[in-house]
Amino acid sequence: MLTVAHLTRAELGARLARDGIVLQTGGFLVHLHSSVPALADGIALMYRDYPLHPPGAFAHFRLTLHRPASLRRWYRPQVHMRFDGEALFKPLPLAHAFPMLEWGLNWCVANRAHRYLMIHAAVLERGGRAVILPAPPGSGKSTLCAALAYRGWRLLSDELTLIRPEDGLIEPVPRPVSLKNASIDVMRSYLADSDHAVFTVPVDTTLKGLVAHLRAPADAVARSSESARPAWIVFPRYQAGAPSTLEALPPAHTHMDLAKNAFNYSLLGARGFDMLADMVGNARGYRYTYSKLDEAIAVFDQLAAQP
Amino acid sequence: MTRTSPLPLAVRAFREPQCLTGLTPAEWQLLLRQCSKANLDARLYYLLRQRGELAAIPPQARELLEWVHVIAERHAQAVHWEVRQILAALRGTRGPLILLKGAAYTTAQLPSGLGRLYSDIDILVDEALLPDVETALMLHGWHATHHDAYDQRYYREWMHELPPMQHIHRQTAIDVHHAILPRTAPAHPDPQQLRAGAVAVPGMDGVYVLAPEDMVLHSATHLFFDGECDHGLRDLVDLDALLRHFSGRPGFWEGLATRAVQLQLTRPLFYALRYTERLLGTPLPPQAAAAREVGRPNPVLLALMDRLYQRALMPVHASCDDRWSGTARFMIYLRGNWLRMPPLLLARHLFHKAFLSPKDKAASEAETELDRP
Amino acid sequence: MWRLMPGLALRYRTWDNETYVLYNNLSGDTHLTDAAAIEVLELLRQSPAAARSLLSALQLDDTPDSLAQLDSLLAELRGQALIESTPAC
Repeated sequence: MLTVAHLTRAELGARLARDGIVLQTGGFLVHLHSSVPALADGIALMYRDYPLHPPGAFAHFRLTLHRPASLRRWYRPQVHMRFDGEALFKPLPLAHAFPMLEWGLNWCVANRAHRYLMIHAAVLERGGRAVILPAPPGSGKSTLCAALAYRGWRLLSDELTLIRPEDGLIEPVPRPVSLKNASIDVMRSYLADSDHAVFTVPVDTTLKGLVAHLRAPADAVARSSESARPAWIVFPRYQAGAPSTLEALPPAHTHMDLAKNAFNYSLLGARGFDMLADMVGNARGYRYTYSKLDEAIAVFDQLAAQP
Repeated sequence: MTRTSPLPLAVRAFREPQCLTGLTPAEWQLLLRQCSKANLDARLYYLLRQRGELAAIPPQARELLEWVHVIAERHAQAVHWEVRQILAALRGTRGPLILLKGAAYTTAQLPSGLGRLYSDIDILVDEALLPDVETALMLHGWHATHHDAYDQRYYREWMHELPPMQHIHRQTAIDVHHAILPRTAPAHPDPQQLRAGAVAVPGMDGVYVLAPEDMVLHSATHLFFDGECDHGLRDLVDLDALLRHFSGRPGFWEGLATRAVQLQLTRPLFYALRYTERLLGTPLPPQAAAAREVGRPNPVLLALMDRLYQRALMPVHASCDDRWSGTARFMIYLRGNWLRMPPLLLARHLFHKAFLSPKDKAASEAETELDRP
Repeated sequence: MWRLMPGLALRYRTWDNETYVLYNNLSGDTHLTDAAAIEVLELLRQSPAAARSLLSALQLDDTPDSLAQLDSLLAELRGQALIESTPAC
């Protein structure tokens, strides 16, 4: 299978700018068209192991990222993103092109792929079983997800937990893990011993501080067609200085809290209700407060050891 | 109407649906993008389902159609609920609840309602009852949008409706009309006649829709007088569905001809019948000719209009949308006990809040109003 | 007299017979609720009833206190568009 790594950087840039490329992430094919070099850089680094399909292949989404042909081209240059030809969001500074792509890809799936019940949560697998980590931004979910992905768990996704209607299994869509501000340095040092932990250069977004992405482990990408059964739902909360505390959550509350973190629970109606209730009935729900990553990893190790 | 280039796939799909199972994956990609732009993708899903051909198309195409089918189902559920809420709110006012356009098709379970997605519920009320209706709606949780004085005037004085109102919890929108054309339009179909002809929806006590002939005429009017927005193909597909559905009713075509004259809508009816037949192959019986011919324009005007509509009815990129932006368009179906996240609000909250800002002002206005847990 | 909203199909789950999640197929809302509410809904599913007869069906004493609590529950269910009151038969 042809992957991004098979192309030289020059070839990748040329194809992206000319006819575009069709990149596969999980079960989704996305047609990308862009003349922004920073974007090609980001794709070359972060999507090295991802399959490429011919430019005419059937794509689920089409994204274009281009610099406008205007004064803004040179003064505080910008990048515009279009979804299936529509400009739905305001442009961003050119330096934010790669993060913009990542948000765009999340947006496409979360707003369109309504075959699945989609939860805004990280999800990882071990021994065939998946742990789901729902959390609003700022709860430390991404840091925890990044750590787990490199400490014995297979990354299925850092933002999009997709549940299949036919069997209730999680459909992986592993992509770069997004990290913000302090967690970037935390993860850099935490994963300093791992050659495979590759980070983008942090981008200063002014509004939200620093943003960087961590490449998904090659194994996770290679195994992205292997689904997993949800076994644990853990609502994480990072709190400086807090002792590691795992607290069981009643299923009904887990159901409601998960629904609040779902992209399309309400849209799926009765079927969404049933899918969520089925999952909750077959999994264990927890709230987890932590301040030290090592303690967190140990707690998740213990979960994995459960029968 | 002569064409030098072949018809776009989106038109062919509805004109000759037998071609669908023969399309290549590349053609399917193009067809789906055109239908998405034309707000006809959900419609396409139901067309294929009706023909039992969903399994006979490329799996990737079927996947994308399944995605929009989920939306269509939830949309219908939401419309039914919303109509019930409106009925309850207006129970104390005089006058029946008459639904228009999409809400009418969905509620009366007409073929034109299947896969039809829209953001607002449109109703028709007696102009004299407007203040009562507005008050009743506000008492039940709808509030005014478009607070700008200019906008208020635009809607109330120049158009034929109250400014759209939005429900505070459900974020659904209602458009209260007292006529089907603005005062400034060249024709003045008498709203009193329209209301008098309204028929009850079976199984829904107190809910009415326009009579079949009036429904067709209203749809024709909407298409041919509302020239700004690009929903031409969708409206034509509506008309085709309505005409096919009502064609077999005894006296329908004669009634249509008579009614068009009564309501001064013979010209839009002419165009509606002309273009549905030419573009979508709507079968028109001999009686339809009488209904059509009354409104025939002079040949020079006709030639001009043919050229204009040839363009206007093709699916193109929407340069203007409904009041609500593309992604907020389907807001109607989404609120559920605080668990809903409209797509743009979603982007704000869940993807690094405020990093991606919505482009559309209306959408971002809607979003700030929605900013609650 | 109270009755289920016409068209409501009771769809709920519990894992401990105390706390329930309930889906309202009319409004599309999901509610976190309890055994008492479910019991009332199931009774009303069988047939419309007045508050007093609900009291006895629930095997509660006919005291002002019990009635007040039941009224409060019924008001909550009505607020959630699960039940509605009809003119007394």
